[in-house]
Amino acid sequence: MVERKEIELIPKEIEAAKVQEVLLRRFRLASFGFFLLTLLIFGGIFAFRLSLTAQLDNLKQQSASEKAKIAQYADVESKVLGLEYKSSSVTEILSQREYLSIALSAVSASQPSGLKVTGVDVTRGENTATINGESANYVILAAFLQNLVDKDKGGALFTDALLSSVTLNSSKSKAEFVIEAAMLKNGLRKSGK
Amino acid sequence: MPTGKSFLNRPEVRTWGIPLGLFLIGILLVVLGVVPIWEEVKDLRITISSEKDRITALQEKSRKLSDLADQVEGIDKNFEVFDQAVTSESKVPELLTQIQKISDSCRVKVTAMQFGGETQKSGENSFEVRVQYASESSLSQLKCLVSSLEGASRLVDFESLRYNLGIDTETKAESVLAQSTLISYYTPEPKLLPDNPITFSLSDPQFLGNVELLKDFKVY
Repeated sequence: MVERKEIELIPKEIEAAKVQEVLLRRFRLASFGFFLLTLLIFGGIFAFRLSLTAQLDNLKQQSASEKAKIAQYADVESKVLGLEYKSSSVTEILSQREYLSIALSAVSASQPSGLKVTGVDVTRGENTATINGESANYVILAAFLQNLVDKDKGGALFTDALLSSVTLNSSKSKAEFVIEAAMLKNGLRKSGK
Repeated sequence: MPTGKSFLNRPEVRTWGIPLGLFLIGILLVVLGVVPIWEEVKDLRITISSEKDRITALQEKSRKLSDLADQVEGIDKNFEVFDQAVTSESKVPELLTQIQKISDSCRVKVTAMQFGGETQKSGENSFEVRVQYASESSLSQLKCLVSSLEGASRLVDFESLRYNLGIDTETKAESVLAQSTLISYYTPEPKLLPDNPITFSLSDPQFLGNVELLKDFKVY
């Protein structure tokens, strides 16, 4: 039998050099492609940024023009804003307002004959009023205390009336008293206003 | 002897140098160019979006002001009414004059009246002006004073009221000696900022309600 042997016509070195040549060409192509791609992306983004900057400048011009239009109405705007502030202040003031005349009326309405109120002290935001006075006798004073919480008299405002001191003034033959009267929460406000 | 030229002339540098350099430049372009510009682009897009919103708001404000300019007569008339209730300045002399006039109309003798300073109400655009007031009168006159102050066109509130009966040493007549702290209000001129929207309307029910309320207050 005849023995077959493969004869290598191209030397291995040359083939390796060819493979390396191909690899090298691909690598060059890839690096060039990559460079081109990044350059394109950079260029694209840069151009996009330029267009956005131009758009922003344009918008700023528009905004300045609108501001100039608004500035023409400065007088109207000042009055309108002033009116808005004043109206909201009026709402706030009147809704929070405590009418001390209500307290004076409630005390007067509760006052029986023979009793004189010599002093009243009311402070906004506090729910008590201090009432000083003098009474001909203790029965009248007791009636006053009852009247203060009577719904038809002072009770529309006062919820409780405590006698904090009473002294018999013998020179006047009168009982001098101090009453601490508790007021209804928001009792000094008017619901209509 | 090695030279600079010899490194560049080396076959591996000549073969791989350019492609590797291109890769390097590409990466540098991405890191130093694309990424920062992309961040800028993102910021710009946000700025543009907010600028567009701002222009829309400005156009809306301009339109509203143009509408309100057509109603300037009504605005002026209402402003006058509200300015009487809550002034644009403290106007202390005018306030003291109003209190004096009310006292006179109720025949209350003013024994002391003093400006007690002003403070800004927290979180609001209004200021409070305080007046320390003392008077001498009868009880009915004092009641008249209190009611009249509560119904005065320039809004005046009582912070406190205290009265005691006193006896005149000469006439031996009884009189009510009252002391009180009065508060009036004012809102300073508004600061105009183009970006502040106009929310006010002359047909706002709350505003119309206030107009009606203020009609009942008496001008002194």
